[in-house]
Amino acid sequence: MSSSTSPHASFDPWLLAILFLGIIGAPLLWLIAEQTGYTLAYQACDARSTSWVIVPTVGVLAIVGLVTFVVFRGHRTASTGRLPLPLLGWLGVGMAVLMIVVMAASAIAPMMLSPCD
Amino acid sequence: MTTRVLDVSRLPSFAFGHRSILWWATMGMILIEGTAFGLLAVSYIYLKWRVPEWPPGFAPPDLVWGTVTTIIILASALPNELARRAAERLDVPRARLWIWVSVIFAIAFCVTRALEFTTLNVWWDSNAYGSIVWFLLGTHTAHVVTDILDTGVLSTMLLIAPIDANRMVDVAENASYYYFVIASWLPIYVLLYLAPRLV
Repeated sequence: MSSSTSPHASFDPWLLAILFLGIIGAPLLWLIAEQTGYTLAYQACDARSTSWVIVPTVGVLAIVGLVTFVVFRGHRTASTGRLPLPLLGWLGVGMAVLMIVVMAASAIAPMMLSPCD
Repeated sequence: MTTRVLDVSRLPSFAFGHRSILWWATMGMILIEGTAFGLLAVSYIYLKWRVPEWPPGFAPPDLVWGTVTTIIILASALPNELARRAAERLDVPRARLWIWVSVIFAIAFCVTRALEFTTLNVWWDSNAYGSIVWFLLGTHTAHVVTDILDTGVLSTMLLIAPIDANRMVDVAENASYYYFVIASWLPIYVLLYLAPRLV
């Protein structure tokens, strides 16, 4: 009987890693950006400068942009592979792009509002 | 024309439970994520109805690590509740202590969860059953991992950053969310581990 530890027809591990970088890595980067913002919020208020929150968000946004580029290249390779690689490719690109939108939206609030008042 | 001005300076600057906006945000998150878990559970049940044999072509997941994980996650409710109560009393030392105990429980949970993945008896791409089992377990694991990161940051902040009452509200709401992580696991455990053996 097959088990999760028995020999298994494998995919290219690098390609899988790239695709899951989009599916899991991009949301994880968003989480890191949120936690960094939470950590630095008091510092931002003390310094009366929202740069403490905006700069890390923009920095992580740039990293997510890079991740999206890498995942998109992986997606092009995956689209010719056997199932479920094409699906994972679309999921990876979709998730990475979604995280760009979400993080850009997250950066708008501290630019427009003054939460320390 | 006269302008009426309300003096709200004597109102508290923080609140616990449903009087806090953070509570409503947490409940919104729980609603969204609970719906996602519900959809996954329905997908699993739908697949089960489509085939005469369940699990199709594979043994059910081994009980040991799934059950150990369940015991650990249920036990972690205690330090979680103690952290919540300490936060609501504004008892910083005890809130700090119990939230760190909660983090240790969550890390132990992650270790047994990793072992769980090795005893599922099916690969994620073997068939639709394998995919839904891995996806259900993976989705719940993602919740635990993100909760560890959240709680880890909060716990560290309690050690190194200035602490005010709002931080205690964060501790209390963090505990509320963790109850969702526990509650969402129990039906998944029944679905993945018990139902294939009983039904």
